Amino acid sequence: MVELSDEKLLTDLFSSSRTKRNIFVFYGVIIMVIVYHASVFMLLEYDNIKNKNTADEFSISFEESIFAESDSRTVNDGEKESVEFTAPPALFLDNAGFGLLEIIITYSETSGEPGDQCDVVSVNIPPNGVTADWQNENNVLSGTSDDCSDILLQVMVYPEYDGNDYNVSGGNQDIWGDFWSDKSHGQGTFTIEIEVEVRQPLIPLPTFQDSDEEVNINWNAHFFDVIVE
Amino acid sequence: MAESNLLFIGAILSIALGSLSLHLIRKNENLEWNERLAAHILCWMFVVKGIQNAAVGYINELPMENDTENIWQFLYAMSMLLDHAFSFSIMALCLIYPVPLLRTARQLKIGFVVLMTILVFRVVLVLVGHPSSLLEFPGLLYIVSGIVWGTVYIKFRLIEPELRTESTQNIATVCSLFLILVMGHIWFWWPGMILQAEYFYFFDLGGVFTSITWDYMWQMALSLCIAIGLCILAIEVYQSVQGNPNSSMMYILISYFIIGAIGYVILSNVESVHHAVVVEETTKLAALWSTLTSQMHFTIVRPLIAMYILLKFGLFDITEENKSTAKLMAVILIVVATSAILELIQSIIPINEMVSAALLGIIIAFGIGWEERSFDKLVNNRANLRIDVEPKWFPKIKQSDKITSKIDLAYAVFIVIVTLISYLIWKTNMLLQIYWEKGGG
Repeated sequence: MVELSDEKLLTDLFSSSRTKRNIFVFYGVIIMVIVYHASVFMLLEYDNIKNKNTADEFSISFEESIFAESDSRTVNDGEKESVEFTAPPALFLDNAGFGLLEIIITYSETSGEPGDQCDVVSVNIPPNGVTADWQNENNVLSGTSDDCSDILLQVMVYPEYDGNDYNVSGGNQDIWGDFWSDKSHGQGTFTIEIEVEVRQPLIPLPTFQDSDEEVNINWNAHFFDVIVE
Repeated sequence: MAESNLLFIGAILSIALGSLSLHLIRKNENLEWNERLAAHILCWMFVVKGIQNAAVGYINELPMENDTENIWQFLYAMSMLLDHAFSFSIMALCLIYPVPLLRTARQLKIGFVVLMTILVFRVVLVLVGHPSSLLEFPGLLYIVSGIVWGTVYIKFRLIEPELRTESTQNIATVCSLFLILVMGHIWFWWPGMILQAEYFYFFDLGGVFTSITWDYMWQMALSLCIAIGLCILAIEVYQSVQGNPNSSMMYILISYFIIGAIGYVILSNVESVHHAVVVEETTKLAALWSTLTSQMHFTIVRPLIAMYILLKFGLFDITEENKSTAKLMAVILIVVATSAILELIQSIIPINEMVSAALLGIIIAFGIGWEERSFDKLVNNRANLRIDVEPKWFPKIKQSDKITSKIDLAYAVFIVIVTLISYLIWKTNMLLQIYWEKGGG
């Protein structure tokens, strides 16, 4: 059945000192790498590997502080007035981040004429000039009032910030702390554009004169500190 | 293109390669005993791997929430069992080809009985409800094939200059090609292993089905593969410097390791981002990268390497009679692989469908044109493994002509048995029970 041949395989493979040296170096490298892998797996990373599917849970909460600033403008009929707001740099140093900006626009009919109706005030914030979450669906970037009611605008500045506490899994305290401490959000100047359309009384008196309106602007910048536990 | 689509492509390529090659090899009367055995095992290895790829592809496609029949168990069992057959094939192959390490009929018998015992033992472990048990010795495939082919590679690549011939270099080339085929996808992870990246050390092949010790043993085998890859790369670079280059092999190896280094930047990034949106985007990129590298190797490059080995090293006897079948096989592999690669590129760079169709046409035309020239070149310029090599490396063993038919029959029966066992496992909900017991879900 068998034509006998050299059966001493190992003798052939290790037939010369040159080959022996080469193959033992090869095995040596393999053993070194396996020992290195074992030390990383069994010693350095063992706990992490063991718990890789059980991520740590963290509770993230926010402490909010509001910086308020007021301004007013008298806007002529049919004209557009721009008003700007820049958050003071100190607020960025004292807080983790700039969460959101509320703008409340108030006005009343100031002509003093009997029967004069409220003017129409339109306000909008162009999405530029500041790094903010301009695409957030909770943003209110424009508003109009014709009955002297307040106009409320809102810009969500810090992405995903809504002021509510929440829980997360994975990562570590530093990662989540860093995630909520990005000072770049809210840096820059917000600008609102106010337009007034003066409305005349239904029965104007000869002495009647109403060609503008005074509009008050209240800026409420919501800054926050983050607590990761 | 989703990962599962690539698996289906891989399935088509592997099954086409395996079955067409089997047809050609059966007609080759000029093969030595070890070449004949190796060729048959190689073909069946790709047939089983193809079916396994299809099973895994179907698992990935399954809408788990609607899988009320839990058919995933059938597919998962098929995949596990066929993977054991793949392991058996690789281990058997390295013991007989390119240089037979089993050198007498008795050694051959003992060697194959040991391997078949391991295979049957692994199947029994699955059948009795212990899939992914430590007793199966995870990673054995990589350890055995890596050590054997690695040793033979070093012996012949660094052989004494007076004994160095073209054939000794060809033996080393075959070993390195097989090592790329088996381990190429693992070499992409070399920086992860060295730099202790999560994507390597947190890699969990079996999920809840495997213990941490199983994971360690599997990873140890992967580390061994990386060590072997680095050694071969170093040897090829050293040999080039010494004036004995195998340039193609060196460039292939360098490409694998450079791609691995680039992949480190992408894959390790997933570990360091925790913003939900960024994680999603980074994970998408990481998944795409894995598809383009590891999965591509796994599904497309493996059959192409096997086809090259079969053609280049004379395992096919290409005659006028069967030349058309051989060419058909080459064209199928090249065209399917080319179109799959284009689809992958299209998934990264969204291009108009009409443009991509035109591009596909151009690329396939080039592919077939290349095939026309290179096929003839390959067939007419075969590499020999035996000329001017000491005869002691190629002992003669007389074998019955029926041995290869028995191999074919054994594999075919194994596939049928595996299908039945998988069906049984599915209907008894065995895997589902293990899944729940181990805390899955």
